[in-house]
Amino acid sequence: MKKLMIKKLALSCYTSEHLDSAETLKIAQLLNHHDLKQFIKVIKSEEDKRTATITSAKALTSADKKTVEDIFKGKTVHFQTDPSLLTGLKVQNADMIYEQSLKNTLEQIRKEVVSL
Amino acid sequence: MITSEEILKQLENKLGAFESNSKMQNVGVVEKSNDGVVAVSGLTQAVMGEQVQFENGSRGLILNLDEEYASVILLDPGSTIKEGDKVSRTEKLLTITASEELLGRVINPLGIPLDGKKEVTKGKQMPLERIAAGVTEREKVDTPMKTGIKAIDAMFPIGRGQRELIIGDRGLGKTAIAIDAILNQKPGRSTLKPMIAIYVAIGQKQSTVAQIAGRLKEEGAMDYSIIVAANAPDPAALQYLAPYAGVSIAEYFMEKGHDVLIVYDDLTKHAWAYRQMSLVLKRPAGREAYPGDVFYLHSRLLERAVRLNEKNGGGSITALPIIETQAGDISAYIPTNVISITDGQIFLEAGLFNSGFRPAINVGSSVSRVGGDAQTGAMKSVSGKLKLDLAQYRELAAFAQFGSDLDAGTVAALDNGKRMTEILKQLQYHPLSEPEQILSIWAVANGYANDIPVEKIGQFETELHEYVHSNNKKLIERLGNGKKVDDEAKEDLKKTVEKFKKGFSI
Repeated sequence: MKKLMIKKLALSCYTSEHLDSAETLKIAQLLNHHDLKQFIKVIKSEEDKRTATITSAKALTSADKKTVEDIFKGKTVHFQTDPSLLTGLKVQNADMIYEQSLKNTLEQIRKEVVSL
Repeated sequence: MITSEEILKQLENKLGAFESNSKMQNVGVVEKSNDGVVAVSGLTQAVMGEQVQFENGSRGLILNLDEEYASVILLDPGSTIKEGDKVSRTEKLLTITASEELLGRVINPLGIPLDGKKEVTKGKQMPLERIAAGVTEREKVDTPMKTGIKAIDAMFPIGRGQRELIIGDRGLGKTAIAIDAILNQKPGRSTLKPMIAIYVAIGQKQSTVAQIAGRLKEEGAMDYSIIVAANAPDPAALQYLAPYAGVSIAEYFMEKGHDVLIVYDDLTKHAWAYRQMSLVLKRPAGREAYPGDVFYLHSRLLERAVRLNEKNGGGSITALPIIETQAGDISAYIPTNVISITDGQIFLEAGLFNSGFRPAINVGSSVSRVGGDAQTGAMKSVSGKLKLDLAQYRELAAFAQFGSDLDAGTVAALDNGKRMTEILKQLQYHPLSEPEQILSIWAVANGYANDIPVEKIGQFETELHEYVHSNNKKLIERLGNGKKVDDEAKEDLKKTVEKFKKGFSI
């Protein structure tokens, strides 16, 4: 099956921005091994576009989490902690990253000093 | 001697001006890596030709933007890229740092030094890809770029701002001509503005480049030269970028009003490197498996060799691209492409080389489309009929091979032709100044060497030059001022040569 056809099939599994699991399973069972690999790739890439990952040094409060979820309405938001950030946040939305953490700032300062 | 207080003050100033950069960054993930090309997913905001940085600090260049992946070629060889590594945009196109400190240095296309000295970090960032100067910024090519090689300066003169191709099979002296042209640009050898030379080595053996660097240093040419080298073991990406890096540095100097000579040695290997990269990038292959834009590869490079008008600084870039042919076939794909781009070619032939005529320039097939406009009045007045006379000699010589009795006029023409051909021979690394060239050509063209055996013409020439340098410096000055050789100068020439001949013994 052509790549474009597989992509169309994968996109048809999305109903109102969310993945319809039943529909996905139905289509997956009809595909051969090679086409299934491509199908999974497209689903994965679409999921990445619809996901935002928030990394913080300490776990966020429920109120903060709600604020973030409201900002990324329609997207699946994952929360994770990474103590090496020291303080601050790192937000990854699809392929855009916004980082305002102490670790990142210190790294930038280090690069500035090295370039002197 | 910088004190610790000064260092601390600098640090304080720098850190005081520091502002945290918390912009949004567009990132990607490595999906595949093979043959120096990495397929990266994400990077949806990236542009064509942009530099990207991998997690491990190595750099890459985006050369394909497909629906699912961006194809990135690695610029830092030997770096270990794994699947899943993060790749970030730098939002910069590829540039090279250019400054006067580059003179005398040997660098790679990314500016990394190959001569063991410090990297040049302070200078102007010149983009590797740039659109050539437009029509309104240009000036006519009318100033000579003297190579110091009699055959070229007399019959195929090259002007500043011209592109002249040097084409021939391997081992016939293409690089030798280019190096002699560089050596002849030494300040003081001519009354014209001194030139800066850039030698771009593409896909060559490291030992060859080292030899060339050594020779340039020995002759004192490294003071005004730069070598940009992407050698055989370097990735195809670096070999592809080398000529563009060279011309970017040349443009830096040209914009300051300098005249620059750039040699691309050689563009055949450049086309091979580009073909290798394009095949790995899965671009469609055309004739001889070259990609469809292989003409554009060279045309956009060579169009950057210009002569700017006074309003834009008056600088120029003269390009000497080199192409290696196989079995003398100049009608192959890449040679015909580059011949149609350049303003003339110097064609070297194996037959001439093996018969001892070096430089082995085929006078019939070589041409300079700028021609007499790039010659001084002095040289023009002496070499005007040279090409035609040699063409007539070749016709006669072919005819005379049949051995029949020849009339006196034909025999005289043949004798003179043999000596004219002999005087055009020249030793490698011995470029001649214009007065010396004029002396040699004038003496033989006017029959003063007709009684000297052909094999002694070289000795005749050397001793003539020595004689005039020691006994008639005024004549050298007169011939070097560029003005047409008038009757008075001709008389002086005649007397000097006759006087020399009286004392010359075989």
